[in-house]
Amino acid sequence: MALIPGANHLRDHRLKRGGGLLTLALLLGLIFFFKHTKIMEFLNSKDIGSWSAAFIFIVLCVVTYTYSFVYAIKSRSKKDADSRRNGALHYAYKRFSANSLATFSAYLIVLMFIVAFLAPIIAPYDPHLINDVINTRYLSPSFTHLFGTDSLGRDLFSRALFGARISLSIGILSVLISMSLGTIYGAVAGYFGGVIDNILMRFVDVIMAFPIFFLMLLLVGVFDASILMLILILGFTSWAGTARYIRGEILSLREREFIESSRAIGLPAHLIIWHHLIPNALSPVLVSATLMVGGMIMAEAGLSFLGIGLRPPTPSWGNMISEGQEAVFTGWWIAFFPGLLLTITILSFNLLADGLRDALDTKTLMRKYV
Amino acid sequence: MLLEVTNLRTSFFLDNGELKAVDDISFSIEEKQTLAIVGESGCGKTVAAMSILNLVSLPGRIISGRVNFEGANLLELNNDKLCDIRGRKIGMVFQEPASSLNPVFTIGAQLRETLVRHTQLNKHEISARAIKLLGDMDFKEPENWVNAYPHQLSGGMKQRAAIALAMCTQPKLLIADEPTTALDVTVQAEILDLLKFLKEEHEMAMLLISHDLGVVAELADRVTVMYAGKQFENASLEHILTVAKHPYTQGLLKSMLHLDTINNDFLEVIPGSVPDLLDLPKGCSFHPRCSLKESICQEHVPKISLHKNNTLCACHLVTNQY
Amino acid sequence: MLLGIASLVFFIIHIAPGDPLDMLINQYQRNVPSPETIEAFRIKYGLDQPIHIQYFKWLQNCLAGDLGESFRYHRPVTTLITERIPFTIQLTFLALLFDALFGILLGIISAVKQYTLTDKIISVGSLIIYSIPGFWLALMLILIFSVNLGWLPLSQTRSLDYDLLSGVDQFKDRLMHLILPVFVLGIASAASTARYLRSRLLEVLNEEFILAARARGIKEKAVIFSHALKNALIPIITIYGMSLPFLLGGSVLIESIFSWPGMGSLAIEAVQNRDYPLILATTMMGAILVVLGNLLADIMYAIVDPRVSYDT
Repeated sequence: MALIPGANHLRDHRLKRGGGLLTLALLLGLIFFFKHTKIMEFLNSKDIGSWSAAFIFIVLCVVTYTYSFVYAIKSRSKKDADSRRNGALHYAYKRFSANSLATFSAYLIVLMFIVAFLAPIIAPYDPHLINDVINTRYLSPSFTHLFGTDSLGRDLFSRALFGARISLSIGILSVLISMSLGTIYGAVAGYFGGVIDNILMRFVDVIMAFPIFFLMLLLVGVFDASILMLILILGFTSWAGTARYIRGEILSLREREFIESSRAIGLPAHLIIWHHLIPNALSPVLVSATLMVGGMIMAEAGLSFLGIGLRPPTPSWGNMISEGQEAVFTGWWIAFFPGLLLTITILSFNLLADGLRDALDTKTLMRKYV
Repeated sequence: MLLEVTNLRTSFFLDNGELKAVDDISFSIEEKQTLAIVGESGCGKTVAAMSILNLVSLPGRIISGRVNFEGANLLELNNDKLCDIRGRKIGMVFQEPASSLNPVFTIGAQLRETLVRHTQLNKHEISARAIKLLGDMDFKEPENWVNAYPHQLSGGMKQRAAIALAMCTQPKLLIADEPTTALDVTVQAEILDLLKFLKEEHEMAMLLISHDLGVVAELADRVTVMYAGKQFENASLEHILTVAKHPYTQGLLKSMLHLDTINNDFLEVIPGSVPDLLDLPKGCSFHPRCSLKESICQEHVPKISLHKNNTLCACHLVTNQY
Repeated sequence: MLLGIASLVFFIIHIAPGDPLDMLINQYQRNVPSPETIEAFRIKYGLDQPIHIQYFKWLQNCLAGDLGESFRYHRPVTTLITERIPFTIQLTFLALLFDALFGILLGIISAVKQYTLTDKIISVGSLIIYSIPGFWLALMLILIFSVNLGWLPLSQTRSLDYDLLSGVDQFKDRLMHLILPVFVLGIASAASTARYLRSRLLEVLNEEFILAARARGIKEKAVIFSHALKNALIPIITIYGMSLPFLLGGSVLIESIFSWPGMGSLAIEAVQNRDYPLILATTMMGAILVVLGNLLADIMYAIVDPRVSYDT
């Protein structure tokens, strides 16, 4: 039993986690079964993209098995973990797992990340391979080409997998930049107040006045858009809202007594900001960050769609849809599948954000009567 | 008997269990009588009042009991008939005047809405009536205040406007839920006087909910004491103030600020705090804080029983010989 | 405020790598212009001067209402924009209208029927719609309704034979061209309005004044539609003000797909051609529209909400 990942979880009626582990293990096993030569080859490869995919594959296998193995051993020695779990976080976790849609999207997102990272291994064809264009182009979806082929005969499923890599990494990284920038900026403005606050916030007002997409358009058009540049641009255009929120939150928090008292005992400013103010404002930031990942993915796709984001041959869901637009009379599938994947990804992040908001919001619990 | 509540139970079904906010409560109010429900915050007083009007909303639910008002069980009436009683025969005043008035309508609009709902008067009569009602509530220049929005009024004025709303149709019973708690001390007296006057003037019964025995002593004829959803004592005001039997009631009285205690060293307090309603102690819910507790108190929940002078009490230590 | 916006745009463009002249040269690939021509061009548009002088000169012209001349079209930027802007306003305004109609309706239904199947369908459905990229949805709808069914026109604001049609048919033709763009632009924001209104309504229904109204015997319908709705709708105005930037951003993509001759497609052309004056002007116009929208929202708010008075 212990050797099958997830089996022990299933025995303990932790169905979601057990099922997840089991699917993951099956997936990894299948990949290994069909692609082991490729993995071996990649491990010796000099190309960082392929090598990392093989490496991550091995790490994933190790993690999955050790996790279930450790769980199997621990569950034998009677777990008394439940008695320790009484904190707010555990409570939030319980509320979150009760929301099946959100849990499902969380699993889906994890799955998407895994697939995206392993794209070079899983992809049945080289996404850039152009070969015998006349006979391979505009093939409709079939078992050999799940998503069909495009105008140059490239396999769209493989391209979509590589596109997932780009969408997800751009989404996550740009949000990371945006959130840290916004949080620090807002915290500084809110904490110091006065003139500094005034100047900083005036700048935020200016940025907020732009239709964000116009600003992105401007920047992407003016700077040459590599992936890195795109991440930076997306991150640097979208922090203003977070900054404003954090500032407001901190202005109201700093009047509260526990901040006064930490100031009274002489804690330095950066410690107060770091240890007291930011953790207090964190959970809404987490929610809006998750929400923003979806927005960023959508923005990147939009820019690439317009032909000013990532340009072909780099596969991105956005420019794949754009290629589909050009071929709107010949192949519906070219635009359909990348868009569908895009929608599912964004939807998952939105559902996850929804679930997180409900789980972390302790206010709705028992506001009245009691 | 105007209002008769028997074996009322109301619970809130939360993620982490059933919260028994009102657990088996019975009391009655005669015409023109004022009954006060006394207890610390969180003991279920407000929920009890809401249950009378069948106004408990999810996740709360009235589980069992009867609320007989003029012979009809309010908990079994259909919505239309219930709406005819609410506001017409039973008025209600809330604790927080700032939040019990709708901020986006003028005082007059809210008064007129209620009058239209419950009377057959024509437009002019209704406008006149609204102004007169405000005048009755000691508004100076009521015709100007009719067009004011709630946020333009002071706390005391808001509460008087809220009382005007409750008094629209001269109800038989007024439920006042902590009517003075949110107000300044001077304004409190004003509102108390107004309530007292209205009670006499309109020969109205009243259900007063308060944690403040001072307020209760001013208005009530009879008092029922609640603790953690349960009823501990029910007796006449005189009885409660002089020979209260339940240790909790005694504690409440001792912690009250009397003029003669000011000279004493300090005010007595009941040690500890109100228990978590989701995690009540075994036996009598008051026993961890009770100075007189015995072993039986930790084991069995005391039943409420009738004693001399038509007094009800729920305590193992209070026996019939008292 | 507007000064800040203008300055920011100016500096972003001028710290950027790449020369507008490269673009220009690319246009003339066949016969590369002589160095003298390029130099003349530089002087004509003042690109030979140091950046701070360019900045002040540009600012001065801005204040005089002169935003310069497009590098590419060789026409004043202001005329280019005034030609295009009505199309964008038409599109966004209609989308907002669509949003208001459906968003508010669905929001109310969803909140009133809380915990029922209808509510679940509306909530999840609106989240799905909200998650669909507008440009993809547009493409799929074109595929279905224009390419396969042939019910609606592909793109543009009117048909090629527009001038030959009668008055009524002309109007019908315009309407047919509007349906898809307005629908796509409006439905995503309608979805977010519905979601927002639902949660706001549920919040308001928990307020004490709702309980107080019920305790006065006010009928449930009146409680929801008069007491709760008015309170819940007021913040929607601000939401509309705030959603304007997103709507304008979305219109860029939609305009590009439907070849709609508005500000959005102008902005894309400008960016693709590195047409400095035009980029500056379109971005600024976008920002000005947003500022105006917010101002309008503030004024509306002050009119509708009694708690906001003019003097504060």
